[in-house]
Order: sequence, then structure tokens, then C-alpha cells
Amino acid sequence: MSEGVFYLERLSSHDELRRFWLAIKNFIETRKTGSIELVIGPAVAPGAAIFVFIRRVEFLCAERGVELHLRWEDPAKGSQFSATFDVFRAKFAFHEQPSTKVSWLTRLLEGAGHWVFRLCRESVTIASFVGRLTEGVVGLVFRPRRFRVEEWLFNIEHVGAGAMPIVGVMSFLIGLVTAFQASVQLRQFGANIFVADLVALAMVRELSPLITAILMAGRTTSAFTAEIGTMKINEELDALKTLNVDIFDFLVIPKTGSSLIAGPLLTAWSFFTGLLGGMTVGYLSLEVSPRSFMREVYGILTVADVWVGFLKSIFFAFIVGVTGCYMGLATEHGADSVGRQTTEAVIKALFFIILADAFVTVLAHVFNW
Amino acid sequence: MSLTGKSSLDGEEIVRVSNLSVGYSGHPILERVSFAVKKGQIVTILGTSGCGKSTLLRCLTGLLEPMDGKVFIFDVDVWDMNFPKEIRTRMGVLFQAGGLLGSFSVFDNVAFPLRESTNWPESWIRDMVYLKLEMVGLADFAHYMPSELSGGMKKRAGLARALVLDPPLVFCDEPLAGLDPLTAREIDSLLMELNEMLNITLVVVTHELVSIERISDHCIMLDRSVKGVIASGTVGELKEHSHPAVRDFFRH
Repeated sequence: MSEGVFYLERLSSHDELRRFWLAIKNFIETRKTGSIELVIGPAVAPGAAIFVFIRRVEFLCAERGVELHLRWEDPAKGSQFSATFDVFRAKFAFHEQPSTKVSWLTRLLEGAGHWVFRLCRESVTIASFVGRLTEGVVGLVFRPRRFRVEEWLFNIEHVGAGAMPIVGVMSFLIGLVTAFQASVQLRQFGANIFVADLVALAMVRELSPLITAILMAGRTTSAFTAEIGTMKINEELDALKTLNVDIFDFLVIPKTGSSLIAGPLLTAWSFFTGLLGGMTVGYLSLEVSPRSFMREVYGILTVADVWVGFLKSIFFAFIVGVTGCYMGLATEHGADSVGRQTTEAVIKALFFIILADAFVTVLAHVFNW
Repeated sequence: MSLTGKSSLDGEEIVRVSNLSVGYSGHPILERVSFAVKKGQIVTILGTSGCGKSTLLRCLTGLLEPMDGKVFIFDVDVWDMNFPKEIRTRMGVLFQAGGLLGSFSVFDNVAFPLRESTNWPESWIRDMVYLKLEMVGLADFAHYMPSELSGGMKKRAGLARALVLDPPLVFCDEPLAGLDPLTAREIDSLLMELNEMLNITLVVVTHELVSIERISDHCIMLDRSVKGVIASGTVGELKEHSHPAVRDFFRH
């Protein structure tokens, strides 16, 4: 191989082209001669890879001011090559993107902007969804016969009664653990009986509504989203629309309504089993009899405490139902979308539940409830 | 290097199947099938539903191990060597629904094989991907997600991905399934263009009569009754075939 002449004998792999190109680049950088000759052997079949390669060599030579002589040893193949690829060569100027080196700060700001923008847009759609829901509920007041009682009752059973075992077990254990953790400290002061106050207040104001809501987000929100999302993918929602069935009357209102009934009931159930858990620890390790435990609970709880817990459970149940239906309806086409929406629905529901929890707690503090 | 000396195969048999038996869980669907595909041809594998077309294709593309017999691709006994990677990178497969990865854009789908099996930098890959997308007419849709494409576009994107490593051999599984006649004709002419311009050998599984007549240089017809090849030849030869089942198939 004489100086500045590169001979591509055969094209055995894409990797080899890259190595060959690097050799040419290396040569140009070290020798700095005014021209190189690229000879392509007869064994090389003209394909797209060779086109990309030649294009890149042309770029390189143009950039370094080196003259390039391209020669096909088999002229027939050369003409076939140019016939096939001259079409693309013209189009490629269009695809050549200007180098988009953006600093990380710009990208960060851009990303944040996108995020805020999306958040704003989404709050608008959520607001219109809730508005549409309200409209549907008001409409039902005037035409109560359109309310689908059976669907509603079925959902209450599924969302409420079906969740009783898991909510019961979880609350019992939480009550047990809370009482146990407290008992270690309380025993030191001989303040054993106050375990009842602690468990009762913690459960009714905070833990019962929260545990119930978290379990409902996992069980109910995801089920609503998956069900409605699958219906959307199977074009069932479109079919309903063509049949003049209002999706809010048919799906959203019964589902949200059932969650609104089941939420507070489950919270009450959770409070009851939580107290049982505290009572068990009191009886077994603190010598507090169930009778004195209950008397202490009655002494400490006020109506305001119960109201705060109830208010929270209503908010949470609403969030659970609405998020599930909203995310289900927001499903796009494609089967993977359902899984994505379901995950996101649970996360959103949990986020809004904690937000509402903080809101109600602050509210209760301000009004001295 | 002997695996890749491609010019030595000109006019030769690029795929050779001898005494091949394939099936599922011990029950053969095809028994002792033999045929060959010559370089530069478009060969269609046809037959009625359930005759084993797709099973045969799964075996040729390395997805289903044969029960008996041999498959030679580029003169390599592929199943003897457990379908070597060098062979896989030298053939493309177009799946029935495109087989695109749903979480990647069209561009990333097409770039995927290059990123996986070459040392090319991103700028070269971009050139290659746009070149292939331009070939199938999807350059303007590079940043679409597969779920945003129509059925025909998905297939064209799948074809671009199958072609991206410049394979001399491409297998297509029912490229026209579920397409309207106009889009079907577009896909057909695309396949013929590829065959003509880049000298790509195509093995197409199909049962669309119009398409078979339009594209095939050679046909191989399978039939359930014999669990194998019932006839092979050009479309003209098959239309005059002595076997009634073959003539039936080609009757409009």
C-alpha cells in the first residue's frame, strides 16, 4: 500500500468499516497530505453500510481540506452504487442536524418548564373531570332513575366488604405495634393506662383513615384504573358512546359513589380492630383490663376527634375513587398503557391522600377541633 | 472469515433445507422437507392455514429447534452450531405485526441492532437509520412511538429494522396480513425494490394470492395432507400443476 492509498478489499463486518475509517483519520491527522485515494475492491458489494462509510470519509476529508479520490475497482459496482445512493445523498442534507450542544442548565430549566406546563395542563383536565362529575351528580338528583343502583351496590361489596379482612388485620397489627412501642416507655412511669389514650387518639385522628386510604389506593384505585383502561383499549368505551350511554353515569359515578360509602365504613372498622390490637397489648403486658381500657378510651375521645377522622376518610375515599376513574379514562391506546396508568394512578392517589391529610390536620389545628 | 465471504455465494443456494422435520412437543407438523433458496430470488412459501408455513419460518429464523434434519444458511449448518450469532446478524426478520419494541421510538427501534452489534458511533448510526427509514418512506416518522403508527407503517418500520445491518437475506412472516390492498401493494413493491436494488434474497411466508403472483420468482407450496412440500416452481408452473389441491389454491 503506497502512501495515501487505502484499499478496502472486502467488507466482512460493520466493525471493520469503523476500524478502516479510524485508520484513514489517523493517517490524515499525522501526515497531513493534500490527497488520499480510497479504492474499493471488487469483492465489496455496495450496501448501505458502505454508503455511510463513504459519506463519513467525505465529511472527514472536507473538514480537513484533504482531497478524496474514490475509485471502485469493479466499475459496474461503482455505477450501481452511485445509481442507488445518489437518490439518498440529496435527501441527506435535510437530515443533517445542526449540532445541538445544549448546556445542562438549559436542559434542566427546559425539563422543569415542561414539568410545570404539564402539571398546569393536567390540573385543568382534573378540574374539568371533577366538574363533569359534579354535573353528573346534580343531574342524578333530578333524574334519580338514571342512577345505577345495582352497579353501585356491587362496587360497595367489592370495595368495602372485600377489603375488610386485609384492613382488619393491618389495623389490628398497627394498633398492637403502637401500643407495644408506647408500653416500653409508659411502664417506666407507671403510666400504663395511658396506652389506651394513645392508641385511641392516634387511630381515630390519623392512623385509621390513613391505613384504610393506603390500602384502598392499592386495591381500589388500581382496580378502577385497570378496569376502565382495559375497556378503553377494547373500544368498549367508544361502543358505549355510540350507544348513547354516558360514561359518567355508567362508570364514574357508581364507582366513586361506592368508594365514598366504603371508605368511612372501612375506617370505622379499622378503628375498631386497631383498638382491639391496643387492648391485646394492654391486657397481655401492661395489666390493663379491656374494661378499664375502654373506659379510658371513652374518657379521652371527643366528638371532634371522631369528626376529624371521618372528614379525612371522606376526602380520602373521594380521592381514591376519582383518581382511579380519571386515570382509567386517561389511558391511551396500546396494552402497555394500562399497566403504566395503573402504577401512576396508585402513586397519584397516595400523593393526594397525604396532601389531603396534611390539609385536614392543619385545618383541625386552626379551628381547634 | 469463511462465514462472511459473501461474494463466493453468487448464484448459489443461500438457504438449503434437507430432510427437515419440525413440530411442537413431539408432534411433527412438517416431515422430511427439503428445498433450496437461490441467491437474489424472492421465494414465497405458501399454503392453507395450519400447513406449517409459520412453523417452518420459526425454524429458519432460529426461533424453533427442528426435530430432525438440517438447515444450511450461507452454507453453515446453523442448528448444528446452535444458530450462531454471526448468522443471525446477517439475516433480517420481519414479524407479522412488525415486532417493534413498544417502549422505543421508531428511530431507536431501527437503531437497536446497530447499537447492539457494531462499534459504530451515534453519528454513523443516525445516518444509517435515516437511510433505511428513507428507503421504507418513514424518515418523517422517526420520532413516533410504535403505538402511534398505523399497521402498514409498523410493518415498514419493522422492515427498516430488519434491513439495518445490510443483511443479504430477509425473512418475512405474512407481510401483508391485515393490510388494505393499496398498502399491501406498497409493501410488495418495497420488497421487490429491495430485491432489485440491493440484491437481497427474500423468503416470504404468505397466502395472499395477488401478492404471490406479483412478487415471487419461485414458490414453495406446503400442504397439511403430506406434512411437507406438495409443489414448487414458478407461479405459472404451479397453476398448471397436476395436483388438484395446488390448482385449487390458484383458482380465483
